[in-house]
Amino acid sequence: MKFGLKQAAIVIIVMIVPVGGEQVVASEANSHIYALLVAGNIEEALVDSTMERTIVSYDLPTNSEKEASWYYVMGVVASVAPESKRIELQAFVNNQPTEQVTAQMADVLDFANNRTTEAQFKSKMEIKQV
Amino acid sequence: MNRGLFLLSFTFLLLFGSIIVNAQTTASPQNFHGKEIQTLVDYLRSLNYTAEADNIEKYLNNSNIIIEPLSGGQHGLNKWPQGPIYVDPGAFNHPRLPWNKSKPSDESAMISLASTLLHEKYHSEHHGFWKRVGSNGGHKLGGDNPMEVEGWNVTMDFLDRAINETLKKANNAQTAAEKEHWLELADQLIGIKLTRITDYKENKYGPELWNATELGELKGNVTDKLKKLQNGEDPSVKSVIDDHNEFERKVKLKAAEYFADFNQKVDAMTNDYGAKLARVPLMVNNKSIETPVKVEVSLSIDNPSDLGTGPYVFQINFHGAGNSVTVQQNESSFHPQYYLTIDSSEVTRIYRSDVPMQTAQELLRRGEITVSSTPPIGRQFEDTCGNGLLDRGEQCDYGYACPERMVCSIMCDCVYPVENPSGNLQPLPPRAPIQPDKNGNYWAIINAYNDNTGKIPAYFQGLLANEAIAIKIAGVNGNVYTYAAVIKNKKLESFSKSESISPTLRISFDEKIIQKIKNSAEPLTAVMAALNDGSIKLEPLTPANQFKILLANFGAKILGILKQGQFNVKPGDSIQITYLGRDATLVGNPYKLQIVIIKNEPVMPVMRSYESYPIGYTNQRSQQLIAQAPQRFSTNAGIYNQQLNNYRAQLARVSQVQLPSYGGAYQPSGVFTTGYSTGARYLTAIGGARR
Repeated sequence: MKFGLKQAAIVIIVMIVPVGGEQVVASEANSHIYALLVAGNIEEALVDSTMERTIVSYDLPTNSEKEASWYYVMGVVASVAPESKRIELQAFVNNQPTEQVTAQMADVLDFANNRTTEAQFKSKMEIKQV
Repeated sequence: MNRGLFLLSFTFLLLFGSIIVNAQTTASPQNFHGKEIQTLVDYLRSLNYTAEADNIEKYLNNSNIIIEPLSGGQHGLNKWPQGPIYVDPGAFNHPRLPWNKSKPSDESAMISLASTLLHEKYHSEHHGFWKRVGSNGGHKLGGDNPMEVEGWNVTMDFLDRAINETLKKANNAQTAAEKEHWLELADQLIGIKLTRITDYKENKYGPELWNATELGELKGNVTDKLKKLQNGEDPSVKSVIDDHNEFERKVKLKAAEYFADFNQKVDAMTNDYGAKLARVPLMVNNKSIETPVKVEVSLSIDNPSDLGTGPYVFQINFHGAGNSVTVQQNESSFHPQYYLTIDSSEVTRIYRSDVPMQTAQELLRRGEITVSSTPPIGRQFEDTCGNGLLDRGEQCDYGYACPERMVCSIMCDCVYPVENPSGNLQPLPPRAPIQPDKNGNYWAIINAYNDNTGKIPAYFQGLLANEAIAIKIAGVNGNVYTYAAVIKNKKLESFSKSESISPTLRISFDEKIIQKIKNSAEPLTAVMAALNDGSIKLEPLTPANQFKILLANFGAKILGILKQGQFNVKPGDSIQITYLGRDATLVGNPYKLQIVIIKNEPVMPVMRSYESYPIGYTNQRSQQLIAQAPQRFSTNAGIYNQQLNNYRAQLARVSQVQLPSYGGAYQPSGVFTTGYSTGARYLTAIGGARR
């Protein structure tokens, strides 16, 4: 096939037009939450914070109480990303996933501001076995 | 039209020192350099240098010998006490031919490398960090110091032994061929020693202990014997051995004199140096310079030295009487009253000044050094601080201000400054993107260019043999800088800060692009991207150059296509790569991001495309979960803006939290509040930014 102007134009367009898709960035909320998890000795974590939800999956530090780590993580997320509607978290113990815990941010903030009791807050948390 | 000249962009980015390929290889028994070092070890054993051979072999087997192009004609380098030895690849045959132990030129190359390794090993095993910083600071931070003289004494002793034993072998040789072999080797070894002595003569390495004239005469004597042998005579070598022994005797006397009170001299020098640094914060706080004070110093070595380059942190306890100081590194029990950030050029200025405190005051006023009463946090890689991007966790940079009443330090940390008498805070002074040396020359650039022209494809070299090039750079500080480069016979003949030439080409770009390319895993491809998006613009100023740009553009496109095909990895695929000189695997994640897994390092940079700089860093857990369920996460999942080990360093912002132990009693509300309040404190500390 002869390489003419038309083909040249196609090549140029292909080379110039950037690949589409959403802009990927190192989200500040992800980074802040990650830093605060490290402060609690929680490392190897995945943090994904959007307006819809904040997901945190992490390796439970050795000898730490798993349920206590849930509360610490929820406290951290509520302080950094209160606009996120929901928190989904999951600890890994010895590389194995444990329960998936979900809490609505409104409930978490009520708890943070002493508008609900501990027992009321616990009852609103969803704990899904895996 | 102005999109193509690959050669110019590549060349000039090379020229600016931004993409000089950092081809670092750790010598191992499996690779070329390691095999050659093993050959050297075997050779030394055959010559009965058993202790030296064993020690070099230990370094080789412990991956403590790194092959890396070194600047300034250095043969070797050791940056840290007990650290690895860096060897310039020029120590080995090029092309990569194995050494032949019966060939005098290869034997001399091996002994030369052995002497380099012994020198650097001596540094690694004997010279503490502080003594090296201190004695360097007392001189030029570039080699003229007692530590170097001591290290070079080891080199010379080894070469002397080798020369003496080679001469003895020549003397005892049974055949003329054998005698010729040893004489030729002795001749070459004395030549190596003379070359090394030149460094002393040029005052690079302190006082001259080894008299070059006498050694030169000795070499002439050996050369003469070699010629006689080649002419069929059978000269006696005994007289040369006697001459060499006499030479050595004189050297030993001088060396003994020099090293008699060596430790005391070094101690005095390092104390003096430490005291001058410790007095800087005293002076700026209007305190007596005899007040005891504890200072943590962040020293950035900006000129290549025998400590390498980069940041070092150490703690000075100034006792207040005379110049008495104690210095240590990273002692957690040390509680500094002040933090001093400074680079080595400024240290030298203060140390050498007749009025050191006034010099320090002036440097402080200009923002070249920073004194603070709060710790700098998140110390950064030198090569990204100042590039106008918060790309490696900098707290501030050009264009990114600090919170009110804080200023941006030279390490890109926000610190509280000491106010000057008028009470005004000093902004960072604008810096030109290309810095001349202290004499206003650009030799580093000229040498970098001319030393690296071999890396430019021959196709492009021919296009840029003779040009006068005007360079226009838009600095990140908003200023525009112009430079002129003249290339003759493919060599950069001059580089200056003016446009006093009649240019044949003009190249213009933004300063940020230099850093972008420098940070790129694949600089050539990054240059391509910059050309394609117009970040680098070219303007031919003669009709002939319009044609050249068309030619270069054609070549650049072909190379670019090859590079793109070679390096970007599809989701789920992986390839082995060299990332900034390190062995690594490039993996495509489900969101078409390029993840670099560096061998034996926890750092995992994330890039949109392999030619770009990292947009952040991730970890194994995140990528594992994303691969399992990509639809569950956003494309930003598991990407953080700093190398993950930096976060631990940031804990100074907040208290570390101890989560309740397994099985122990705890209050959920208490743990929750800890997380919530720690988060609030953290956000306050970093200026309240949330997203």
